[in-house]
Amino acid sequence: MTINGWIQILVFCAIVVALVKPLGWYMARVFNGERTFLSPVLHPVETVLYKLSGTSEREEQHWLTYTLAMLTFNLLGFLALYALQRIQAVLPYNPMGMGAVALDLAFNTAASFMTNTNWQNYGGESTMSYLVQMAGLTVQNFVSAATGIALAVALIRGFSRASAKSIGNFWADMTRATLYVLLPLCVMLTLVYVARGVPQTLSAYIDATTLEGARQTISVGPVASQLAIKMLGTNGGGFFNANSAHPFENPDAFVNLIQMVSIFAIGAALTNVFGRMVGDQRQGWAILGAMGVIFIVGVAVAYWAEAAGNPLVHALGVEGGNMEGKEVRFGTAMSALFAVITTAASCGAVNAMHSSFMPLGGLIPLINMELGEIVVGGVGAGLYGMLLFVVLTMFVAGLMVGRTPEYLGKKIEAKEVKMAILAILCLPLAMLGFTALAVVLPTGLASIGNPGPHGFSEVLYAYVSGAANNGSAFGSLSGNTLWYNLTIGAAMLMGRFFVIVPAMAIAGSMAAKKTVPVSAGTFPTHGGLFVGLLVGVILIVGGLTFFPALALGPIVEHLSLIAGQTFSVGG
Amino acid sequence: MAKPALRFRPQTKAWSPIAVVLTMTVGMMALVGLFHFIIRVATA
Repeated sequence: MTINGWIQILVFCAIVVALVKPLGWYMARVFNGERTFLSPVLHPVETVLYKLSGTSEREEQHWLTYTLAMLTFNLLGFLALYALQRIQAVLPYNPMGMGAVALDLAFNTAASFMTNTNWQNYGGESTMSYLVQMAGLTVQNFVSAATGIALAVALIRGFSRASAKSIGNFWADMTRATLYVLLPLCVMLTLVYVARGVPQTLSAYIDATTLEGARQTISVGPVASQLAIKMLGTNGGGFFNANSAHPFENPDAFVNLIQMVSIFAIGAALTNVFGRMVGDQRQGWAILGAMGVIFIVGVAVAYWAEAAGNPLVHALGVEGGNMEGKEVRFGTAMSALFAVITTAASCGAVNAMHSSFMPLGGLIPLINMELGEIVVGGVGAGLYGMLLFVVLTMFVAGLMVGRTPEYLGKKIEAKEVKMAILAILCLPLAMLGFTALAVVLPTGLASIGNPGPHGFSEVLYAYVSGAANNGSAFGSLSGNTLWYNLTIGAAMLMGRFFVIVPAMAIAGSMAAKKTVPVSAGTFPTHGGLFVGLLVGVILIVGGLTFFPALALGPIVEHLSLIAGQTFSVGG
Repeated sequence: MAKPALRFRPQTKAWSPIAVVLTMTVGMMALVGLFHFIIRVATA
């Protein structure tokens, strides 16, 4: 590790923290229906959308209506994206003549982008037409992110309201998230990316002659516009197969920094929105503090592992950190930081190949996703995931002192705890259940690219990434098979909606409760004790659930490496 | 405690859920189309 590396990491953290308050203030105004500096331009557009659809921003919804609206909207988005892929060959904006996407791959991709996962069992430049990229994938990038933000705001209203029957209007929340938050920021970011050399064109790929005289096809396209929402919406699906390791998708260190900040910006600011809407900003800072503790520990371990390098390679006389699978322009520090950010949030974009990380370097992304990506997390999804852990933490705290748990003046009772546990347990069910099947069935084993524990990690990572709606790939696993397309698709749907429905049930239940006055026995939830307890519950729940699987993968691989044992194909 | 974000009004209006879903889906695609148009004009 170097001072330079740590300075870059701290600069990143400082920028994110500096954005929390202004962005949180802005978003709180947007979701409270208050006027912003963009209202003169955007409010008429918003009003037209409500009028055309026959709804109203003042038309409040019960939590069940809110959830059903979200589910039907997502279902239609899924069907539209699936259809676009299947008929892209006869649609315009297809200069390279891409054929119809296969049934199972189209299902996987539609499920992937609709759930904000963006797991890609295809190479974008060799599979998808420009129309599918822009009208299918990019649209889902926007609306899946907006859905996550809307759901988080609905859950916040559940905590902030008392004796209420409703938690907001899904259509208004989703429209405002898209119109006032995502679109303006994406316009700005796209222009910055174009200025830094990221392509934005509808022209066909370029045929070039290399210095050696060989012919080469250079892929271009509307990259910058997809890149902006890919990072800001924590989607992560790359225009190119190499994602943010591709020089057209991440040309330099400055763009790399903007991309990393984009991933965390909205998710971190939502903690401030939470604080503002519940009337005590300290509550938001406490949650962000808990996220920060887990994040910094993860960055330190990943950076240390990558900077330390491979002892077996050192024994051959090659010193230095582990640069396999990394871009030289980013180095170990920015590759490790990017990997931790992209898996702490549910982004999934990569600027280095995670399969090539040292075992402990690859362990951190796995843990981040297994915890449910509650360290800032996906836009919206991170906050509602973290609030589920808060419910569990307050329940544990209540058990410790023998008192009915309360949070923000609301009593947490059996229903909320059951819903939180249901949401938290569905993730390991999808992650570990499908992994267990894949490593015993021949069809699952056939796709593994490496023998030994690393091969197990490939499979585990795929299902963890899918169920956590992350979408980053470990690499080496041949995922474009009928088995993996269907099962990872199913894991993505489970990981998204089996968490959302219980979370919305909690929102409805909490909104209906009366507020209990603060007393001497109330456990303060804005201090260090609460942050420590929250982090402890997250790590213990995650540790207990996933430690056996991690022991079979990256942990045993690390111990084998220290002992000098390697695993080779056929060896 | 912060005031409720939106005023509660009972759901008396019988709007068609299908119409809302369809319009919002097309509306969001139009918004993303507008986004691409703005970028095209700005980078021309």
